[in-house]
Amino acid sequence: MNIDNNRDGVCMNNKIIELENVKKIYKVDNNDFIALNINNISFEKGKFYAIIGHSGSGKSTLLQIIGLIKDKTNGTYKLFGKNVDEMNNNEKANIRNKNIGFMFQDFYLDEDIKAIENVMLPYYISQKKDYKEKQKSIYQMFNEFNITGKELNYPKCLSTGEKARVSLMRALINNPDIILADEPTGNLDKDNEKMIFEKLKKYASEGKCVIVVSHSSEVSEYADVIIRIEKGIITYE
Amino acid sequence: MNNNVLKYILNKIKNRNNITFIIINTILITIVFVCLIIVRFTLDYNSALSKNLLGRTLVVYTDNLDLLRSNEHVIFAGVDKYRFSYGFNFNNNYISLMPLTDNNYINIVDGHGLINPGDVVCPKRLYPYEYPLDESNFKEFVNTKDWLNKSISNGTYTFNIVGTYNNILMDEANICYISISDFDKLDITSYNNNSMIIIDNHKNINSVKSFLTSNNIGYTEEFNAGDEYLYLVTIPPFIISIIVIIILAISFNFSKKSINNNNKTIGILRAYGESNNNITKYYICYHSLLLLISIIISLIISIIIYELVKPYLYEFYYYNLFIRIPILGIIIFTLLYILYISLITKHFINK
Ligand SMILES: Nc1ncnc2c1ncn2[C@@H]1O[C@H](COP(=O)(O)OP(=O)(O)O)[C@@H](O)[C@H]1O
Ligand SMILES: [Mg+2]
Repeated sequence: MNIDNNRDGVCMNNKIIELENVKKIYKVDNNDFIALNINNISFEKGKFYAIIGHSGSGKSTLLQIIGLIKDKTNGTYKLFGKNVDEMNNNEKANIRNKNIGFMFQDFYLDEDIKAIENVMLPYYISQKKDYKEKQKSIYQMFNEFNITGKELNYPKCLSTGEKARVSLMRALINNPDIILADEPTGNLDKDNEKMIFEKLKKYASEGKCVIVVSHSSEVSEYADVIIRIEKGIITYE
Repeated sequence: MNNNVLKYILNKIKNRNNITFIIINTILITIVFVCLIIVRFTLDYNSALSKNLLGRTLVVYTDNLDLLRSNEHVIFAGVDKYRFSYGFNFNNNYISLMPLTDNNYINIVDGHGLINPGDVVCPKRLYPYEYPLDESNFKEFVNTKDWLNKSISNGTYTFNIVGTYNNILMDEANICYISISDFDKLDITSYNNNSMIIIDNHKNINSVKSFLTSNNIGYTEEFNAGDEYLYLVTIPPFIISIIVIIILAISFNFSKKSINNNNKTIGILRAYGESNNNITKYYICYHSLLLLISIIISLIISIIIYELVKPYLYEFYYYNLFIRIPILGIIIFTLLYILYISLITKHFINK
């Protein structure tokens, strides 16, 4: 509720993610290692952002801080206008569940449960009750994503492209405002890559904030904004 | 907490590590349970000793009854015949007549105590056998309330039933009490020249024994527990403590490993917005379920062992003693174990 109010009140210019002087420092052998060092960056609704950079440059770290999966070491991070330092763990968990959809590198599907259960999991976590209705809509979603019939497959019986789609569906199931994808097309062929980017683009055009980390040069065709990171520092935007 | 998420986590219960844990744990818990049964038995045995007259009867090798009576704890001293019963069959029930050497011993439930010559007080429940050999026999009993004011007789002697007493409280079987003077009239020939004493309370038995020793009087306990009893009292608690330490260590390691193995699942749950509190609760359920499985299997195995061993214990020890499953001990053990595993699960999840 809180967040919804903030969204309309405080974020007048659609900025839902604002980072200021955010650093992530790891202790490695008693030395500080600065994995991320960001002066100022913000993300808006309705846009497709691509984050590019070499391996180890801090892209995943940035995405995980935005997704409230990792904590920043210092600086200010405002999400929907609210400072995340003022949120407790339950509030953060709630935001991760309802407002953020994460698509992980290598998809991070649970091998022990069926595709449809993987997709349903965030919905179960949200503790909403109308599972039957939701399942129907998921069958529709499988249809939209062109993998009808794979609902009851276990992940090991899915191709990489199918896994990517299941992983994206899982990120979208709770209709989040922010979609974060960490190298979603890393191992995909051109066709599958295109499909994923097009889907993401479509969600951006529907008013979501889509942030994609990618190695692929194709991403620039879809992105509204390209952000390059080198050694934890944003070099151009 | 959400049932579907719980199902999702419990779904992962069938793996090799868990099964190994259940097997090892079951073996250890079975040992604990068997020891608890023995502990329970020794406690019951001890309490039966302190309740029953036999537990405070000593045979003493002297005829100086006055010296014996001079001890403050000796409430009865006499020739050694009053500890033997006079038995006969009545209405298809085996009845033992015993002299009432301690007036405070019996607890009248119906009628009244011994007043006139020829009075007899019967147990509230008479069993079809002299000794109720196990619990099932305890259930088939004759309620002697209907016998009040009737008489029992073997042809030679006749007694009027004036009261019934609560024999359950005292672990007594089919013993009917008559007065000492009536008992003296019975034709009991075979007894030796020893004496016997009854002590006021089981807890004073040692003080009386040292009194006897200091007066150079030999004695034997009517009901002697023997050395085996000492082993039964000391060894099981010792084994329990060692096994419990092993169980604590194994469960600690297991929880650590289990949470590590479930790293990915926990990561997924966190990433899609499950709160740490709930994740902890789910894993507490998960680990508790593993414990409950081991505990239930252990319980079944220990009950089987108990059924096998019980007849021997009955023969070996006091005839009239229940051997019971230590339900309270098992419940407390289970709760403490679940509490422990919950705390370490919480600890490792928050790490
Ligand atoms: N938990 C960690 N401890 C120490 N160093 C880390 C940790 N996680 C990431 N790093 C380091 O931070 C840097 C950025 O990592 P990451 O964000 O994963 O890079 P990218 O996704 O751009 O490849 C890397 O040098 C990596 O080694
Ligand atoms: Mg990365």
